[in-house]
Amino acid sequence: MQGYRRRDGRVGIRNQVLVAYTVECARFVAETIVQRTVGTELVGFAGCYSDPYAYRMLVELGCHPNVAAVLVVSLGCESTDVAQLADDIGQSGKPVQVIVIQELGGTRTTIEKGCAIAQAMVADSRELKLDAFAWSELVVGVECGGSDATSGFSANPATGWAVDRLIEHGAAVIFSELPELLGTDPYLLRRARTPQIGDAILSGLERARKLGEALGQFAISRGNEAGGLTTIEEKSLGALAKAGTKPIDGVLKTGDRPEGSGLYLLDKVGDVANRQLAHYEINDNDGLVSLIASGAQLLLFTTGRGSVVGSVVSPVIKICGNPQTVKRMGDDVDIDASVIVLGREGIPAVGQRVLACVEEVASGSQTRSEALGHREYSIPYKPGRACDLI
Amino acid sequence: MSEETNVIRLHEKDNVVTALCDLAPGVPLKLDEIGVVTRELIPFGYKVAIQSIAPGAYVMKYGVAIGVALRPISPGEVVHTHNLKSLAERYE
Repeated sequence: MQGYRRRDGRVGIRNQVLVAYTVECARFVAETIVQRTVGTELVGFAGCYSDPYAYRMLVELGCHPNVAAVLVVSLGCESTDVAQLADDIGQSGKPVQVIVIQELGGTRTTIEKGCAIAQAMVADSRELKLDAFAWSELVVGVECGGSDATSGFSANPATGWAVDRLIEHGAAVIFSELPELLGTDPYLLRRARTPQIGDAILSGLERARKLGEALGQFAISRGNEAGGLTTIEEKSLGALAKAGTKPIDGVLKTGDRPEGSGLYLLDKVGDVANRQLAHYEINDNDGLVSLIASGAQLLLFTTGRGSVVGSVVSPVIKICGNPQTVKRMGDDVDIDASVIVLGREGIPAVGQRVLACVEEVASGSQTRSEALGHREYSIPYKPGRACDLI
Repeated sequence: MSEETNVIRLHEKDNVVTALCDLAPGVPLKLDEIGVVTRELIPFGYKVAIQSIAPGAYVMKYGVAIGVALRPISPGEVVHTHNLKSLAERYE
């Protein structure tokens, strides 16, 4: 595999210039710069009131090895400390510049200035040479969305098979979605590498349980039920299959990166007891962004009912195990795992294709969602104090 | 779906299996001579009982309990939200 070696030592498998707006009021200007500049992509946070979670996401996305340089677009009066943001991203050693709409004289002049900066950044990024890298330099995130009854015996175990091989090769793999692991407690806990890791997993499950109670709902949707899933335990058991069978080497908190190879569980569940209710994953892209913020250069996304999303910063490989969905939405699917349901191929054969796809995408091949132009992101408010719901 | 199967049993301990296609009422489940016939429509991906399950008894899938039966379930009946609930009251 060949990638872009960054100053902080990490390797990128993409080389985009990130244009980041720091309040909704700056989004149009940032978006226009991206539309006019090939080689850039958009991310941002809509809130005017600063938020520690969103700030951390912007910093980690900016520092991410798949990003060559960052242009921050600010209105000028939002609460987020834009100078500090640029400074924090700059710690990664990559070029960062800030443009402030109120200082540059409005829409037209800021777009002109922004396009000039972005074009120069893209030109510089094209000078970077590709460098061979090892599996041990790869961090892969796994996520599922639109689960149905097929997920647990096709797309997820095939992905889990590939996850096991990635870890054997020396890569780090991160899974998350603790609210969607409720009911699997004994299976998760017996995979903890140390008692401390077991305690951390148990604590996360307990907080996820309390959060579900406080919100009055658990992570099983109408679509899951229509797809044949009945209880959260049933959905969770299927979801866990995508994390393979290896021991869990660590529990990460928001924005933390794996310390080495192995399997990591990302815990970003809030704590009702400490009045942190809002740390809840509001959609799949929120989940993908948090995996990317923990360093994932590439994502494996399993679906049954069909998802079309991709992501900003890191490519998303879509694995689908439902034959009807593959037939209907095949253009959005990278790996057809429905052959397992149809009895034509076994889990290892499909898992092997997932692994081969990871290698190709990590070497520059486009995923379906990339080719279709998907570059979603979701960075919501997750304030620690927003507990007035209970 | 291959010609040999129309359902998948994920673990030998399971008392439900998953339909691999829409199964009309009266269709025999193609599964090791268990002799179960569907009693109603089983939509693709839905669970169908292969044993009698008493109210309060575990419904087993993947070899583990995914919930308890809310009422008596006969072999060949669909198992879903109307007759199966989560083990923990608090997950409902």
